[in-house]
Amino acid sequence: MKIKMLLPVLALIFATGMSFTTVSATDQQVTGYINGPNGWESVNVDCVMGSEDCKVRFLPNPTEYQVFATEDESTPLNSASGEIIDL
Amino acid sequence: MTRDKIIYISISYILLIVFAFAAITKLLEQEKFYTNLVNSPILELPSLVIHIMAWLIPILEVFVVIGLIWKRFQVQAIYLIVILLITYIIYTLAILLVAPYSPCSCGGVIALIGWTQHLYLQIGLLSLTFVEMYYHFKISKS
Repeated sequence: MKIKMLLPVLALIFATGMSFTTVSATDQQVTGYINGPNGWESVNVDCVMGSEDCKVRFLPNPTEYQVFATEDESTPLNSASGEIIDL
Repeated sequence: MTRDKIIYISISYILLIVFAFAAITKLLEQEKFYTNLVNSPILELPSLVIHIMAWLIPILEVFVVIGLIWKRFQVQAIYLIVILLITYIIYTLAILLVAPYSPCSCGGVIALIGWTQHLYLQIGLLSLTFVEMYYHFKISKS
């Protein structure tokens, strides 16, 4: 009886561990889109939550670009800090 | 323990781990999962419906896990797995074939593998579920 309970519990612990590992490994991976000088292009940024606009710039070029969730300007992404992300 | 039972239990554990992983990841990244659904090019649904879906899907996956552990609900869990996997396969096919672009793949296991690989994984899991269903009824009859 004990082994019958132990195996599912071990499987659950294994799955939980895997979940936490995956979540932290992919924490920074949010793909957004910017309407850059060459049209729409994707960027990997960490800006999902927050009240500020999520913006990026390509140093040394000082031009800032708003990041959108999709390739149109209807879904701007937000950022918690409001800091411009340098790419 | 017979060969049939070993196969049945092994598949049960594979499904248990996969669905527990999927449910926990979605619950840990609730906000990200919701954002992915909102930004989906094929789900043109009101925000409230998306909010409900963002909670309902991981909750159904938790039910699958409970059902697989609790012998009494194993049949219901297997049927629920088939329904969920068929829904996921249709959604993934729509993303790959119908959607004007592939949306952000940034939640859970999809962040590590692409949409096409995800489709193969779902088809593999669905096949395993049918094998599981076959052995379940075979063991019940004997």
